[in-house]
Amino acid sequence: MTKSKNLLFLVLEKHLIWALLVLLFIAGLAVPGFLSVRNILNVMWAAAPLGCMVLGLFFVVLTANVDLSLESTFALAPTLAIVACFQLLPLQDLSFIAVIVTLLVGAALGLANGLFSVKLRVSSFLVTLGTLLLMRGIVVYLIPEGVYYLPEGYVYLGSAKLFGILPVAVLVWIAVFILGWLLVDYHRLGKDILALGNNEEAAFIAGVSIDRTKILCFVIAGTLAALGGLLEVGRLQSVVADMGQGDILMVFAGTILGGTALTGGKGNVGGVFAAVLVIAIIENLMNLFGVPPSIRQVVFGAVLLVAIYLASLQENLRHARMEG
Amino acid sequence: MTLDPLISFAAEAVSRRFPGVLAVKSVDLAVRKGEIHGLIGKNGAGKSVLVSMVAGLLPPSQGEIVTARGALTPHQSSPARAKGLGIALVTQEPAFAADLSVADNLFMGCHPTRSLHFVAPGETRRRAQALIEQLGLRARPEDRMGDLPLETQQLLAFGRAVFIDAATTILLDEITASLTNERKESLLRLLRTLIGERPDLSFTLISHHVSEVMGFTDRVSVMRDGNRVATLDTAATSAAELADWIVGDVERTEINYTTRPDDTAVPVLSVRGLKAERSLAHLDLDLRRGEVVGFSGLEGSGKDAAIEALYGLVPNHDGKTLMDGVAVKLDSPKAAQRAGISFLPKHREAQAVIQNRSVLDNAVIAGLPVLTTRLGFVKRRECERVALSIVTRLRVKTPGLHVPIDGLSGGNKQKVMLGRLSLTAPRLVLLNEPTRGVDISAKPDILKMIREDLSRAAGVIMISESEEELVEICDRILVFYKGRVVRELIRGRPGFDVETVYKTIQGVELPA
Repeated sequence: MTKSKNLLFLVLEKHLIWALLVLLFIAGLAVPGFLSVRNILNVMWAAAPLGCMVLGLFFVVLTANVDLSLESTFALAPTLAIVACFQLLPLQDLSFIAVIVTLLVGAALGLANGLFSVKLRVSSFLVTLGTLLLMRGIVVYLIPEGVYYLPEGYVYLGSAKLFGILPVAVLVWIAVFILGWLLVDYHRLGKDILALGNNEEAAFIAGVSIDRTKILCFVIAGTLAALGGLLEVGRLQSVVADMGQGDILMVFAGTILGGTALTGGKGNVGGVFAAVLVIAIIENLMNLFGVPPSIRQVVFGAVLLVAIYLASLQENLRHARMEG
Repeated sequence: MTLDPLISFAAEAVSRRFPGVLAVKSVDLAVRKGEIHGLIGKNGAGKSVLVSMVAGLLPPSQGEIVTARGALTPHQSSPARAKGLGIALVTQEPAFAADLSVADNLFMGCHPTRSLHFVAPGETRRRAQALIEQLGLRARPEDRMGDLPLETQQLLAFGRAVFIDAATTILLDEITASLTNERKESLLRLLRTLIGERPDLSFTLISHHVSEVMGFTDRVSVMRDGNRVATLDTAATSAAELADWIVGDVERTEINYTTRPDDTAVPVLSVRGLKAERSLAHLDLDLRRGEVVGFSGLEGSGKDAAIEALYGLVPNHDGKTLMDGVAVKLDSPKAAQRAGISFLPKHREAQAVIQNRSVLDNAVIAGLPVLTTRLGFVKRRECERVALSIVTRLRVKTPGLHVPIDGLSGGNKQKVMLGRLSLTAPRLVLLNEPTRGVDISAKPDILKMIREDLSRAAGVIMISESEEELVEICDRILVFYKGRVVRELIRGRPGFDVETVYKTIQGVELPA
């Protein structure tokens, strides 16, 4: 009896978001067209770019910082790579170079955010608010009309399907989450991040390099946002100037829904993975239900509020058990 | 300079100056390898400042701390450097990350790793488990640190210092205070075993409990007023002698006051059988208008629980409380306020001062119910008048009423906090350490105000860790020990002096 009760508590306390996911899934069974391999894979395909950004923000939030500029990095990294490699240089046949450049640009943008915020001791909210606008401005300046013809090699990760059904983007997404999970749970870096996010003073005294670890998290976030942008460009087979604009709110929703504390030091990769799926499924169900676009945002906001409230119960449950 | 190889660490002519105070005055102190050294003194005697300097948390103003591996000097001092010298400080509230597991906390910054810096969870777990068993704790490596009792956390911090950081000079700051006797004994045995195994270890036990120092240490150094006044062989001294060293020669300054409590009137507060879970077992008290009663005792003796229960901060307490003969139920701060009780909390910055707001705003906040019009608009002129009167009457040193309160010294902030207590014309004033963190020069003003202003129309209960202050201004002092009042000392009767209060607090000289 108590054993099953303990198991229930474990699920509800640590993995409430998974319970929520299962719930949505069950709700989806009632919707025709939801439960098919093709639909599920499409949901995941559409979620992959967002998922990469969420994982990036997750790392930054663990250090008790924020990076609002991820949605601009998401557009700027591919834009710069495309302009540099395909418009200035003739590298259409070596598009893997453009892929690498995309990720490097993302890392560099993250590094800039990190250096500015950590070394100059400016609130990361303000720094990244600035870079959010600045980087979007550069995208609009460079490609006001968008770019619609891209080499096959560059869009491969975002557009190709293995065996005609399994999008490569989904595999990429799952791979980075596994990597993220290993980093957070089984790597020195993750231990350092959680320690400093939880109690910076204690981590400092214990000899953790505070600044370096924080900056590294910004770099990881920038790289992941660039990867997300790459997948999105591939999926859409084009890049437009407003790609990702406004997405940062959804990125925050995913991060928080996944049980990440904005105060830092608390969160798990599995949670944010599930949270991205939750968001994607809500959107998909609205499509299938045929919720009119005019009230879609209302429904989405309301569902999200409920979901966030449910996820917040996690903490209360833990307290209840500690006291009981 | 060479250091005697038998010495673990030595403070050499170490001083520490803070604005306006010399907290530690050219102290020499040598702790030997293989010994448990007690460091005792009253609050404010300078022992924690000294210890902070040894641990690298504060650089000394002058002098240096020397170990075999190097020294901490005024220009070279940091926690990291102290750690490098083999010094570790275990505090009452260990610096842990509450949300992380026990194992992750123990190995913070030094996880055992395999290739590519991936951690070795098996090894981490195994070593954490071994450490927990060695300390005889009830915890698992995967437990969340914040869920464990403070006592366990302290012992884990101790374990980290000894077994993981492999420190040789270990400073234990009051960590025995909250342990049960049984735990204390086993910790002591562990210290002895460790010294047996590794004779280069030294333990410095900081405490203000005479009995602990007597039971635990080989030698003991006494701090008083920033000086090291004695170092004694524990076996060759007695608790009473030690207490005398700690208290020193007290200058008695009887202050004159005229308000004498009226013994015939109905008490403003009557308490019968007050009980607050765990720390307070029983309290009976009659308090009259014009009377100042001091609560004295060690941490956890029940004095704090008593005062907090009276302000409704301890929700489940038993007992009867009457104010002016009428039964009142004090189950929330709101109820206490309605009954005419004002309260000065212990932690001024966290619980009383409103940061970033002006002196004026801070001065009138408690009085706003009487300083607003019927529609809730604040009467600005009235507020200024009230704030000005507080500032002038209490001689608050501030450039003006409209400057942020943050720039004021601790003493001046406290004057504002005390001044605002009387705005609501309370019948009962509860003060939890009104002179805590207050500079020497502001203390007389504050004591005078408690005695002459606050007690004029109300009964006052005050907690202070300074026996001198209690003896100076109280009519009666109730000494708490293990949840009960063990002695009531009355002004003018025998025993109303610092020595008696101090010894009774320590349980050294309990009446039969």
